[in-house]
Amino acid sequence: MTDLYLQGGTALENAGDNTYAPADDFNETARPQDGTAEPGAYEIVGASNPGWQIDEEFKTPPVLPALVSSEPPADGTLPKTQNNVILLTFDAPVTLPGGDALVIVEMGGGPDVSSAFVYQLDPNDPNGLTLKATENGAQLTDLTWYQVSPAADLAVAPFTLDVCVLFGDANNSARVTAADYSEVKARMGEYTDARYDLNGSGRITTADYSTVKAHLSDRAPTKP
Amino acid sequence: MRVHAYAMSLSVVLFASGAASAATYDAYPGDDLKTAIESLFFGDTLIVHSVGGDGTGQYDRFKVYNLRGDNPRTPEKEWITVQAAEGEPRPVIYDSSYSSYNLVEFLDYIQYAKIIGLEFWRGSDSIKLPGTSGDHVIFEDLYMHEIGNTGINLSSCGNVSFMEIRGCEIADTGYAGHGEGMYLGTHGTQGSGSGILRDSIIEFNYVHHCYGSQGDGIELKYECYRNVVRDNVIHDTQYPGILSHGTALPTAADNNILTRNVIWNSGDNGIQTHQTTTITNNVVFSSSRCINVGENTSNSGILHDVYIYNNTFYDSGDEEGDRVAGFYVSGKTNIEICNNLFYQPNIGQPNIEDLAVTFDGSVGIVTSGTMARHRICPVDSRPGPRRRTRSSILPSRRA
Repeated sequence: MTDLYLQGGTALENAGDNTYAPADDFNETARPQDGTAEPGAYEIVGASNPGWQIDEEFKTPPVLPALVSSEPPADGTLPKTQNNVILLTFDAPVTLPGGDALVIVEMGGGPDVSSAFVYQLDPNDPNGLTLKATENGAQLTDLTWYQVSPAADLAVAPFTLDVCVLFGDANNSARVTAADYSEVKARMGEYTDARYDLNGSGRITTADYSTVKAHLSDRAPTKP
Repeated sequence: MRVHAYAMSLSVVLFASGAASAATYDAYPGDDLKTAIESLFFGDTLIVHSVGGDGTGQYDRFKVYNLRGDNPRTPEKEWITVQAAEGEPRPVIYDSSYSSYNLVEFLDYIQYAKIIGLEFWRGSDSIKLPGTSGDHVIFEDLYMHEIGNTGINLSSCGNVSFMEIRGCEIADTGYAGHGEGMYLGTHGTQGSGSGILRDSIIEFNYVHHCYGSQGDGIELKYECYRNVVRDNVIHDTQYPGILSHGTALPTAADNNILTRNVIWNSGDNGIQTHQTTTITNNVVFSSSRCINVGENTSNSGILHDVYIYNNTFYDSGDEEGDRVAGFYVSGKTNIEICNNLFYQPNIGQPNIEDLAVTFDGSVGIVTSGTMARHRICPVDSRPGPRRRTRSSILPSRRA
C-alpha cells in the first residue's frame, strides 16, 4: 500500500513551523523531534514508518513502550540525601517530551515534586530504552513515600511506581543497618551516581559511611 | 425467547425490590431481540449468541423504545450492554430488502447503552435513530455490510451527545439510497436546536465502498459540534471521505476535529468542510481532490475558523488540470493552512505551485515537490466547491 512517511534525507525534514504544529503526529509520536517539526502528517523518528502501515483494514493504535524494570524497583527506596536517581527501562525506545517526563507526587496528598528532577535518556543505555530522572539537589523528604507515573506527554504505557525515601539504605532493604556499611565499603573510591553514593557527591567515600551512621535503624514507613 | 422470558420476569422482581444488582441474560437465534432488549434494566447485559436457537445465526430487524441504562437512584451511571457472545461467529441482524426496513431503530430516547459486536446485513439503514435523542451511547465493533442506504443514520435524530462509534466496519452501502457510511446529524432542522450531534467520538472505524446516490464515508452535518473524528480508515467513497459541514457556532472552541484519519479513492473530496473544523495529521491520497474548503451558505452558513495543520495530501489521481487541494477562502476570517504537504506526482516541478493546489488568491506556497506552509486570506472570485463523481477511479462494484 501507499507509504507517505518521509524518506531519509528529504529537504522537508525540520521544514515545518512549530507555531502551528500539533503536539503529536499521525502515529501519535510527539512533535517536534529534533527541534523543528516536519510538514505533513508524519514526524520523522527513523528511517521507516514506525507506526501503522496504511492498508485495507482498521488502523491500529500505536503500541506504547511498556515499563519492564526500574531502579529502585517497585516499593523500593531512594537512599541518597541528595541527587537521587530513578532509572526506568522500557521495552522500546522512549522519547523525552518537552516538559517534565514524569509526575512525581508525595503520596497521601503531598506536593508534586516533578519539577525537582532533571530528565534525560540514560547516556549509559545506547538503545534509548532507559529514562533517567535525577533529583536536582536535596528536594525529597526522608521517610516519605512518592508515587511516580508518566507525564501526559511521555508516550509510554501507563504505570505507577511507588518509592520511599530512606536515607542510608544502600542495599534497598527498607531498613538502615550495618549491612549498608558493607555496600559502601565494597565500592569505596568509585565515581558513580548509583545508590551507594549516599551523600550524592558523585564519588563513594568514607563520607557515605556518615549517612548510614546518621540514619542507622531507620525503617521505611508504612505506605499511605 | 426461552431464556429471556425468565430474564423479563427476573428484571421485574429486581426493579420492584429496588435492588441495584446487574444481571446477565442470553438470547439465541430466532429470539425476539426487541423484547429481550426492552426488558433490560440499568446495569444489565444481554449476550447475543449466533450458535443455537433456530440454527440460523440470525435475528430479525427490530425497534427498541426508550432504552435507558442510567440508574436515577444512584450516583453511578449503570450501562445497559448488548453484546455478541465471545468465541462465536457474529450474530447477524438481517432483512432481505434493501429499502423497506431499517435493521435496528432506537426510538424515543437512548441513554447509557452499549451495542457491541453485532453484524448487520442488508436492510435499509443498519442502525437508525429516527427522531430519537440520546446521550452516552456506544456502538463498538459492529460489522455492517451490503447496506441499502446508510450504516449508522442519525439523519432525522433529535439531539445526541457523548456518543462513541468505535472499531466498526461499514462496507458496501447504497444499494437503494444515499449510501453514507455514517450520516451524523440532521439537515433540514437548522436553527431549530435539534438534530445535533455533539461531544462525540468517532474513532478507529473502517468505512469503505460507499456508493448509492451519494455515498459519503462519514458526514457530519451542520450544527454538530465538538465532535472528534480520528484514526478512521476510509476508502472508495463516491462522495467525500469525511464531510464536516460546520458547527454554526462563533468560535473555534467548539470546532469539530478531524485528525489522524486515512482516506483514499474518494471520487469527490477526500476531506471537505464548509466552516468551523480543525483538520490535523490526516493522510489523504488518490482522491479526485484530497481536500476542499469553501463556503456553502445553502447548507452551512458563513465560512470561518478552519484550521488545517500538518496533513499529507498526495495525488489527485485525476486528469491534467485537477488539483490536490482547493481552498476557496478569500475574505474569510480565521483560516490557517500550515505545515501541510501537497504532492501531485504527475506534474512537472516548474508547475507545481500553479497546478498542485488551488488557492483563490496569491499565497506564498513553499514547494519542494511539494510543501505549503503559510497563512492565507486573499481575494476570491472562484466558485465554491463542487461535488461530483468520477467513476474512472472507482472499482467495479462488488463481485
